[in-house]
Amino acid sequence: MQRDLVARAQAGDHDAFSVLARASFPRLIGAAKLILHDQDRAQDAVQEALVLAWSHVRALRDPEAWDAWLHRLTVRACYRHARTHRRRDVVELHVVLDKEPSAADDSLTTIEARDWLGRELVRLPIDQRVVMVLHFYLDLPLSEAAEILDIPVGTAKSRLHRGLTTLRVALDAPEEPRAVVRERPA
Amino acid sequence: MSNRIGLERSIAAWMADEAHGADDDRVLDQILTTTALVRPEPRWLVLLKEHPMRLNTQVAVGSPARRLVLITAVALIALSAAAAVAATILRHDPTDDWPGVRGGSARTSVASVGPVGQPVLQWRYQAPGPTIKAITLVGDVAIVPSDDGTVAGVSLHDGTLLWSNPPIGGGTTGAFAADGRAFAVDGGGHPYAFDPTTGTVLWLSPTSIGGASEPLVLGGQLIIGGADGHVVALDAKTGDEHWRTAVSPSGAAVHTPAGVGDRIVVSTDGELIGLDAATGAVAWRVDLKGDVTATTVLADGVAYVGVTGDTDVGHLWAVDLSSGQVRWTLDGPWQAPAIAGTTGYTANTDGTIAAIELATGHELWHVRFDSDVRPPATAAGVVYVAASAALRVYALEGSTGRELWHYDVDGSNQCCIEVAGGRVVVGSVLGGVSAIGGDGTTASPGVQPSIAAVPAAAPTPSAGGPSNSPAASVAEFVGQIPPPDDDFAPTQLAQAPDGTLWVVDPLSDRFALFEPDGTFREYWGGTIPGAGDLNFARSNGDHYGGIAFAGDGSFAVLDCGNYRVLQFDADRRLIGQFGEFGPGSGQFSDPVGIQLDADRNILVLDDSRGVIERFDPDGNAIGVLDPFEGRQHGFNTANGFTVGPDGSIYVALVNPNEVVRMRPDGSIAQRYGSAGSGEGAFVDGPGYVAIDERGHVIVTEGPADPARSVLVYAADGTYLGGWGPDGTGDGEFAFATGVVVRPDQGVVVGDVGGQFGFATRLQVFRLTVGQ
Repeated sequence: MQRDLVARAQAGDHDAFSVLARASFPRLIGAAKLILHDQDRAQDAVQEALVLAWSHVRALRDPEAWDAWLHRLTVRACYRHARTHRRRDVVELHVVLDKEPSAADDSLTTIEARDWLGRELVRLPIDQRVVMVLHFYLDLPLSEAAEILDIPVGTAKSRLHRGLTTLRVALDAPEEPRAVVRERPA
Repeated sequence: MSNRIGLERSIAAWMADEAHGADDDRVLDQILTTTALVRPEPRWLVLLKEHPMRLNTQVAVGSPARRLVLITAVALIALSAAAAVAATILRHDPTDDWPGVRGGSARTSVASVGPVGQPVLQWRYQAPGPTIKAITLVGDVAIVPSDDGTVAGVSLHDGTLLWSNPPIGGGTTGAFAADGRAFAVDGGGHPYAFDPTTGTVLWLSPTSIGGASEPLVLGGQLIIGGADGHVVALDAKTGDEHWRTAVSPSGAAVHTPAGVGDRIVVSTDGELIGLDAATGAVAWRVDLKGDVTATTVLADGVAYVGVTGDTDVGHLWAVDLSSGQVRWTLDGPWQAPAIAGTTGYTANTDGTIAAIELATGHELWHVRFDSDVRPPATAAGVVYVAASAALRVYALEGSTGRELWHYDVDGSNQCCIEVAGGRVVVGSVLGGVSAIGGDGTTASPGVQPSIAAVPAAAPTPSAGGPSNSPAASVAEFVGQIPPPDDDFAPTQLAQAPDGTLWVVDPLSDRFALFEPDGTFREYWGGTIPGAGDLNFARSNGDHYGGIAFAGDGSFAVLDCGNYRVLQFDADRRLIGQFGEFGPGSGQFSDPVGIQLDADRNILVLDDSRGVIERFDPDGNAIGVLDPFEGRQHGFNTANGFTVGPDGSIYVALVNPNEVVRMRPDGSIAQRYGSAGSGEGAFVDGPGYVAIDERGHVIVTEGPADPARSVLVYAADGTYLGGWGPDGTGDGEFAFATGVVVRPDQGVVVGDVGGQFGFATRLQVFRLTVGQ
């Protein structure tokens, strides 16, 4: 059915595009929020992506690639918004951590632990965060994430690994304030 | 392991919770209100605007020729009909039609006669949209499909519009003419037949074929490939479906079919399939090693298939039409040839046109255009080439490649060139269709249109069998060195003079030390007295670090995140340090590797600058070496390097994907490998390099090619083979990293896979090549 909707959208049927947009919107806005950690910017990024998707819908050669293409447009919009707001991000990163949750609580079910996880995820460089969002939130295999990001699969694996390792090291670290995290460009 | 799994689940759960938010519906309503006020942009425009995206190796979004955005600066060129031109009016031979894309059902791109003499514009027709599909020439009519879906019948004599059918579904394929009819597939995927002289639709099939290929008519059947992996055959008279075969279980799109006699041949990306024309039964399959393919060409019992115009890698394959046995392959992104007897004329995506012996694939001549080129056509010993970006059509002497003439057209050709009735017909993205005839004089060959600078690649004789075999393995698995713990992630490997194996473990900013027998001894690094903490992270977060030993056991450490080199004696006492961040000579902007030469000079590979900085043992800068020879450098363009026993410096370069051997003076002595997917080529780019006592160059490449992770070359650059497919078993790799040769022990290769569910380990191999 999605294939037909895409074909109709390509023929100029805005109603068909509306159905597609409504179906896609929740996960796009969710992904954008996780990448940008800012609701307003996430909404701007998704708006940008969907408007472009309508305008360029005829560039889609394979209707089955609709979802992957939307993900790509959204991620690119997020990168653009992240770059324009990097100064603010750098300031936000210079925060001394609260104590990390106990390493024994490996399921991170407590509110404190989940808050800690959220802060740590935000600290990750955007490249690593994007791969983690595509893989863990959108549940995409790394091969598809790599195609969306137009990077080699090895690079996608590497970014995911670095992100997980950073989190794991932080989870296992002794309870003391951490030094300032160096900002890495997206 | 339990912590890891729990963490990942927690991440997923946290993300699922955090992703929800209020007030989003209002945003969606605003988006839909905005988009309702505008229309989608024309397809031809957005295909150029939108960056190509591949999915499962196929271009799913965007244009193969997006780089041709140059057409926005094109000026229209038109010749005055009153100019001093003597056009020869040729009698049309009804048998000299151009029925469909690349000519007839065999797709050989050959006509009986082309323009005679110097080029003359006979007529130009302006279509309502870009003409990027094949133009069919049948009888006195040129069937012109426009990208908006309009199909027009134009007089082949003077270009006047005879009839026009409006778009159906917003698109159309090109047409195939046979038995007094023409056939096409409309924008809704429905095949239909029509009268080519009037455009009257004769029948319309209810069958819908998504992503339809160009049609083929053979033996009374209309045959079409679909984007879902099926080939469909319809009765050409009635449109009734005869058979439907799923040629691609994975659903890969089927490209334009070719047919002759009782055989139909189609390709998908990565496979060539021969079918029985009557039943659609699969007769044979050929593994094309993932090549992104296009239309097949059939001639004299051989099927030829090459790549599309938007790929930089691949092969030209020659396959026996009856058995499917591969006769030869030609390495490189060559397209299926136009056929003239025993000679084929093929185009490369780099702008080269070559004449090849069809029996062997050997090159006869080639010319290189300063433009991308479309697949050529041939007639009466002349080769016709549309040079897209140059907006020009060339006529070349078939025996030599020398230019006979050229003619400028209005816009870029994105498909193909047609020849019939003594004229060349070519469409453009601007909608112009030009019919180029001859003035009846004699066209004399001049020089080739451009400097031929591309060396011919020798074809590879087939080893026989329907599927090519991978290169023979050149190493045997000896054993594994298990990781000391779950955090171990080996990258660069180095052998100390006392036989200790030092392994950079950059995620933990340390080294792992192993005894000569592989037993883990200790970790070392982290915090260095007198130097502070090591930092093996680059500015982008990648982890490198490095170590290099002198003969007396002293060593130097590349502390890349701190942009410095630390020097230690054989007892691991810090004896010096130097280096600072910066773009200048003697500084580091992005250091990724370190080596020592025989004089104990320190060499540091600075990736972003694309140079090797040289320092004397006291840390004084003494010069730079440029492995790129000034061609290119930038972030992530050089991975690893090593110094050979003779002082040669081997550097793994990315873009270009190759390993270069530099003499100590910096000149390039040898190159190993190339970009691509063929034997000995690097898909992503070489990683780490090691040299054995026989001068073999051993190179790792991460998880780019599922068939092998380690490549071996002879000292003279000859590719000997590879090993290490994807996997978790002995000899398999998740992500091959560093490599070192341990005398009398073998080749040790790092494999980083723990975080992906694979084992992280060191694996030991023995080279068998040359044994």
